[in-house]
Amino acid sequence: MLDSEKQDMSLVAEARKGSEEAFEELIRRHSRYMLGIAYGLLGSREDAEEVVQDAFVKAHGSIASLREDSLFPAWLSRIVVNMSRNRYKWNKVRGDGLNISISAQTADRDQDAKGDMELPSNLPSPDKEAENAEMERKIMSEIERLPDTLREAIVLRHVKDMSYKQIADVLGENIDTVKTRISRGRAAIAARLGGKL
Amino acid sequence: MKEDISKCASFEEISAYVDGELEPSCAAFKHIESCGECRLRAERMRGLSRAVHASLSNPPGADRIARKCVEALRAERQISSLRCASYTQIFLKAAAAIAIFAGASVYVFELSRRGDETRAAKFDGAGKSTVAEADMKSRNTLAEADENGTRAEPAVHSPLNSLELSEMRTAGSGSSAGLVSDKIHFVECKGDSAAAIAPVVKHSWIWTKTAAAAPDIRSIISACNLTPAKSPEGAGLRIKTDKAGLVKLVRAINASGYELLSDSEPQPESGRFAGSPGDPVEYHVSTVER
Repeated sequence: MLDSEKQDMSLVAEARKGSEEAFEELIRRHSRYMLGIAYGLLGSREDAEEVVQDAFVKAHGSIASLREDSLFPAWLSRIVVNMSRNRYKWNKVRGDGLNISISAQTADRDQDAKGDMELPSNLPSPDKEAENAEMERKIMSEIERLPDTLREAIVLRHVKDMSYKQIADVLGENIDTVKTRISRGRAAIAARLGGKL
Repeated sequence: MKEDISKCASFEEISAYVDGELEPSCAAFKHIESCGECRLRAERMRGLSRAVHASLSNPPGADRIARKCVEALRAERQISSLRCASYTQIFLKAAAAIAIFAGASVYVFELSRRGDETRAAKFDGAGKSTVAEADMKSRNTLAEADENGTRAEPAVHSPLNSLELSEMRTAGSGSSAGLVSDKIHFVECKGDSAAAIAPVVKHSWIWTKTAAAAPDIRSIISACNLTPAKSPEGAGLRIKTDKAGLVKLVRAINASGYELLSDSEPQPESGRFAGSPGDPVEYHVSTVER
């Protein structure tokens, strides 16, 4: 177990006993990741910030119900995902939601065909990718266009490098489903960017 | 069965390989490790994964989200504490309201119960008189009394001034000492109890077994400007008066040292009268005790 995970467990244990300081420290440690998840699912900074704030308030109110201290990150992620889903649906009803969905044909295409997908030529190299704001914007746009199930798996995997098992726990799915969704999500993004994998 | 590691990995296997989720012991893993083309595909996949990670790991507002969350949590705590205080206030108010309502209900119930007893009461004064049933539907108020200009005198313990008392005692024979009733129901005149008596109700005041006190009582009745008449049953006096007159008489009698001992209701002096304004009510005093 990593030191950060041990510290998390200690903080969660303190927070469950009512320590406000411990919970605020958990906020500082996890809020950035949670914002990444919410932003990836919603595509809106304002919505994402609101969801994350509400999620922490909710988590604070129900942390006593957490079964194991070690489950806190996954538990918190599940809260954020669920609240993001609700917000997404609400936005959709209001007409503010992500309004472009990847076609089922694209999402369900046979990904076993090898060699027919390549990364776009303008995809930055690993050394430069963080600096390429334009590419990030394009990728974000493609993530937004993914079907909900693929988008959730892609976001959870890439925000915090969650394992497939952790993602499966958060989404309430089995590992094979998660594996499939991640690979299809990647394929869809690459296809939209015009590249091959 | 020997695994075929010559077959190139699927897209899903490449994806899992990049994420470290492919078992090193499986054929796909071994193939990717040994296949240049698959390694190249994996490297492209890794590049895409890093790009996606970079896009998601630095969302706008990330530098201030922790502060915002802490502030939101603290604000929520304050709201919760205020809400809790508000709920406490509401609870206390509700409890007070319930207590008042319960008290009022008990009070009304008690009045009703006594009224029922009044209606059910029947008095057979030596087989010669009965107490008429009082109608429960009217609980006459002091306001009603005022409207009719017949408001009774307040203050039980000072019903008449000393001169009046003196006059009444002088007028009476004072020979009723030693009378003991066999049925003791103390008739007490209380303050504004007259308010509960309908102003237009006429009361027949009949007493029996009070021969020794009769002269005194008769004098008091006269002092109250009331006209006594013989009871039709021949065992006492009958007084027809209104509410104010009755209450005034009771007070005068009490002030003179007698106690009216009534064994039935209604007892207008005690505020338990429940007659209807239009109903005649007989009020029986069985004994008078000094």
